[in-house]
Amino acid sequence: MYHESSELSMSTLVSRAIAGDQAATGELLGQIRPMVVRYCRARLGRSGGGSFTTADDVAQEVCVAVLGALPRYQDTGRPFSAFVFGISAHKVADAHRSATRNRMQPYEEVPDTVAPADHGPEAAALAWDSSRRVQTLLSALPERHRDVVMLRSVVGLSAEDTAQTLGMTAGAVRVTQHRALSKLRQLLSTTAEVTA
Amino acid sequence: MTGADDIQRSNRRHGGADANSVSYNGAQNSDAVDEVALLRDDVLLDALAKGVFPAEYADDPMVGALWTWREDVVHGPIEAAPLGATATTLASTRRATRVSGRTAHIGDSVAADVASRPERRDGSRFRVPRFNIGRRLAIGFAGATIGALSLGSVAAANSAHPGDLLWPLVRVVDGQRAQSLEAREEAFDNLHQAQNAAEHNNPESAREHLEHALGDAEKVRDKDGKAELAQELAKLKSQLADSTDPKQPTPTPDDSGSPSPSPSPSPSPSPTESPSESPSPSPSDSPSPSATPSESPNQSPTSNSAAPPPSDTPSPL
Repeated sequence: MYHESSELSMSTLVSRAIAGDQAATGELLGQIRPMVVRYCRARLGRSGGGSFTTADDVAQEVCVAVLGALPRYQDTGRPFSAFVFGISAHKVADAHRSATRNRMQPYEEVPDTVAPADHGPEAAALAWDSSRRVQTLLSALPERHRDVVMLRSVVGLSAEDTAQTLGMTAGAVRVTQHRALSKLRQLLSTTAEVTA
Repeated sequence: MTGADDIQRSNRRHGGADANSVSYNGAQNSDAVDEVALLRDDVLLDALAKGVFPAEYADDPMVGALWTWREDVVHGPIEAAPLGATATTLASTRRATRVSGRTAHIGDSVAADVASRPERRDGSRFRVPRFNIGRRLAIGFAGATIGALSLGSVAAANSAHPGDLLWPLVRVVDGQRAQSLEAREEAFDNLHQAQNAAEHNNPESAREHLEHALGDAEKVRDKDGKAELAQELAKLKSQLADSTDPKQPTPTPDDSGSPSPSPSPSPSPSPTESPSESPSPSPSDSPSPSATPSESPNQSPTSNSAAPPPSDTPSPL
């Protein structure tokens, strides 16, 4: 998703946004927001109600935090994406901490609107179940492995962009992703044997 | 949690990444990596990153799980629309709406949230303040009470009569009816006074009230009892006429001498004849007025002598 040209344009947008260009700020947010949303969803999964409410909430908070931190962002050669995903990682960690303190109990109410057919209760339950299974598997991986798989497969970054974002080399990213996938396969086969 | 803290955290995390980062060479040294498998996984992840599911991995459950996960994350509707009808969907939706409102300057998410709201009848997408249910009930009750009172007043006014509390309302609502009823009341009032006067032998007053009553009766509508009133008036009129009728013939001979009633010749021609014929006089033969046939046999002898005094009563009705 991040190619050199897009990163260049992003750095240009960042410079203009820091200078106070509202249009550039809006476009910059438009570029980073889908990736932030995917990252937060991949990290947080679906909430208790089966929706990505919490993840999208955190994604919005990340966007607000990025906007607030923009004037103090120093382009030191480090990619802006690394800056954004650094903020995202901390916001996700905050969400995890607040979730452990959350004492709220879900309660039953009739929804306001009818869910669309392709996102009905059954589809939502299946998607939720699948996501939770992958989340469970990923949680068994080392943090760096999990991040690489996440940025590569879900957020859609290239190996180079992932390397820049995580401060690694592209080769290290490729080795890490290979080991992560091998580990996932092993975990899946183990799970299948247990359930069988 | 914004600003410098995030930058510091990001920098800290970024700087600390080197400690955990996997060196390509180090990886090669510690664990022999199959370079073909490594490149194959790289191609696989590139394809997944672009949203393409490689056909050769169709039977790979790990790739299938990753694909499903990716599709769920990427294509899950962004907030504001509740996903499922599971237990806590509404709570989630409300929270999402709150979040969208709080981050209104973010732009497209808010636009998506607003666009997902049903458009209102007047085209606006914003809620109009509404009265709560208690206030609505109070307003409805007040309106119903006013309506009921209005209808009740009109209904009561329909049955009102002159002198009633609601009579002025009848004058406003139905002027013709009010005039008719008032005329009828006046007519009956005059009728009763005329009857009283007649009973007290005051024919002058009786006739005067009767005249008034007849005038009022002209203003009464048919449906307000005009026929009944006319009947009463006619009855009184005939009574008055009857009461004055016996005296009426006497003045007429004085005035004109050509009245059709024939009692007048009887006194003068033969006072002697009538007693001779009187033992069994038939009413038809007798010259006495038909109104008082019973009196005529007795009075006929005396009437001869008393003929002059009846001339006092000059005019019948």
